Amino acid sequence: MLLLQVGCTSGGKDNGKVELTYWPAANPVEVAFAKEVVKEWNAKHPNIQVKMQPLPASRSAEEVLLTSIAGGTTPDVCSNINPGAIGQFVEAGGLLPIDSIDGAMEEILKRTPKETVEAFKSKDGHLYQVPWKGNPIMILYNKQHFREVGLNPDQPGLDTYSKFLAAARKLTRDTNGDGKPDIWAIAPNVEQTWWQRFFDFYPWYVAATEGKTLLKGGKADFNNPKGLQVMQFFRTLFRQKIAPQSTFKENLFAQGKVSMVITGPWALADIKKQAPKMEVGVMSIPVPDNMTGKLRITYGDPKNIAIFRSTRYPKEAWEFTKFLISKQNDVKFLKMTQQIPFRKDLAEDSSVQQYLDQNPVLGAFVRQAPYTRAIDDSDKITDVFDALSLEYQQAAVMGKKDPRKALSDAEKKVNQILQRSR
Amino acid sequence: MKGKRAGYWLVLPYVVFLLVFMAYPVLFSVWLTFHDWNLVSPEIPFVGLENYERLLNDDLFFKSLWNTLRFILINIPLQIGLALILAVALNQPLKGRGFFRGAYFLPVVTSGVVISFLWAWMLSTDDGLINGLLQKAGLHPVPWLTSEAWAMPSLAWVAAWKNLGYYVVIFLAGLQSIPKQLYEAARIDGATSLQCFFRITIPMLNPAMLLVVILSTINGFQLFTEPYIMTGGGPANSSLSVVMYIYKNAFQSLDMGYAATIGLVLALIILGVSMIQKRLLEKDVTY
Repeated sequence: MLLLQVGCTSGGKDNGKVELTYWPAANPVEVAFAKEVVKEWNAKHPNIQVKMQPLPASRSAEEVLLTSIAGGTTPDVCSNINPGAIGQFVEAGGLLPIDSIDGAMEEILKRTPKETVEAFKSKDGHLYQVPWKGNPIMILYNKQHFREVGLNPDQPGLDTYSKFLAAARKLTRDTNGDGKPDIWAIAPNVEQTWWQRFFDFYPWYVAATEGKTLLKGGKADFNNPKGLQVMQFFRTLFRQKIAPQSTFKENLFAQGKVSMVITGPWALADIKKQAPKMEVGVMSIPVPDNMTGKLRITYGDPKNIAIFRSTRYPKEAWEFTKFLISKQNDVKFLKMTQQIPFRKDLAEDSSVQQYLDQNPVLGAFVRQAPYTRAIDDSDKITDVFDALSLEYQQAAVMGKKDPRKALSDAEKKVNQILQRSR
Repeated sequence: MKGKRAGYWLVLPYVVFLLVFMAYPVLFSVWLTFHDWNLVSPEIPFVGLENYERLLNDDLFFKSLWNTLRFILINIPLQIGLALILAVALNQPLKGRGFFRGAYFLPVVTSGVVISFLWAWMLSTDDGLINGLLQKAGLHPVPWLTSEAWAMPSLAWVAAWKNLGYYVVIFLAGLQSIPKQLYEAARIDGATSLQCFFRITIPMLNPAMLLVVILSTINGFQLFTEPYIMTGGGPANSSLSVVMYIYKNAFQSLDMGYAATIGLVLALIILGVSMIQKRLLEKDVTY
């Protein structure tokens, strides 16, 4: 049925010339990358011209895309698809199943590990997104601060909760003697906003469980001993005043006011700009004490490429997408944006190796990239995170609720939400 | 006849505007309250009164309503008290009066987003200007935006600060319309300044007061920018306003039917409250 529809809409070309529209994310580095790729493509393909138009930055990308699906103004290709929102796009009938395009799956599997591709398949078994880039969440730290308190800046070894907390207690310091900390070890965002949990509870949970996500079989799956350990870890962090219960609107890490920050590789460019002299180190998300030596998995903040159902030229759209994810462009993307494509053989490329040798912190992100998880594919995922976020705030940040109770309340709420969704 | 037709043509753009941008959305959202829609799905199933039932059993809706009322109860007296004092002061022949009038009006025309960011920094617990001053004075820092008790009062203060100038202008206009003879006559009868203020100024300001109370109540019910930027509705939903709850349902959960239902109920509440206020305050209005 689907193929039939596609078959009907593709076909006639205007004067033998095809015109495609392509929406990249609107941040300046990605726009610059898209410009170069499109320019090269257009020069090589006079009959398939691509028009690039950055996704409006003023609102969230998901909101813009949903509105454009509703209004029938979708592009042919978009490379800023959040897998957490794909359920909604699919439900709305906005996306073309990539696996219906001849040869596409082979091409994608050549580039990306099978498990990663499988993880992005939708409930109906189809693949609606080409895995593109995954930015692993890790911990960046200020080597100078580590040196000052006697931690080894090159091998800090803060890989378990107790080691991390002990080091963090040292790093939180009152430098001017007024009785309050001037440098904090770490300052996770305390706001209730659902996606903030991508930077605290979620990567910690994924690491502690070696890759479990929040839901399983359409039900909440996080009310378990590991979930509790994660909740207690953050509770300790705030209770022992290693992390401030404050909202900050500036980059405290770049200003040297906190020693560690939980973030993705995209932050490197900004830190370099704001604090060019800072020596930055990188480490994995810590895990519970009894897990030493195990594989670390983290949240991957992936963004993928989708081809919209509205396209009149699915074949040409795929050809352009294929060009976008070619090795040559993946290498270019890594260097231009400091973000990491889902490509198996990336680090083996000699020019990439050389580049990563000069940028060891980025290199660590590249090595971590295959060991990431996205968020669950559910059209209620924002509500799920919202419910969890509320309990996290009460149990961990404010320390007013027993973590056990918080987790079971979150579980109850999430199951209610999932039941309501039709 | 010709003239009449020209008249219709002249009002046509406004009528079209009214129909397209006011009447249609209002009717559409009322219609939505009986449906389940995620903004993009081509199917919009009819669900009857399900959304209303859900609303009646939704603790979070009542919490957001209570939060909003708490905001209004702090915000309005604060705003009116300060605006009245400032308006009376600025009505005196002060030096640099024009400058002060401009200065107090500046926050009104400044973007709410900018002001929210500014105050979020000033009210930050560990890094903020205000806690810095408190600590210099030997006091403990206050978790202005990160405790359930303080978050809403802090937002009420920020909103009052932002809108103050607007209400000052209304009160100033009201003050200037009070005939000078009234004061002169009172003086001759031996009234003190305080007596003049409470017996003449306040009663004569009644129409302005009515306007300010109704406007700031409506404004209060529409609270959104400050909690959205400064607290995200937290901590623990203690600063979640009704409008923010609508926003969350509509654009985060994509539950348009339910969001429309809350919106409609909120509109009815505002209508009811405004009518009561008008009744109560109109009794003493002297025109």
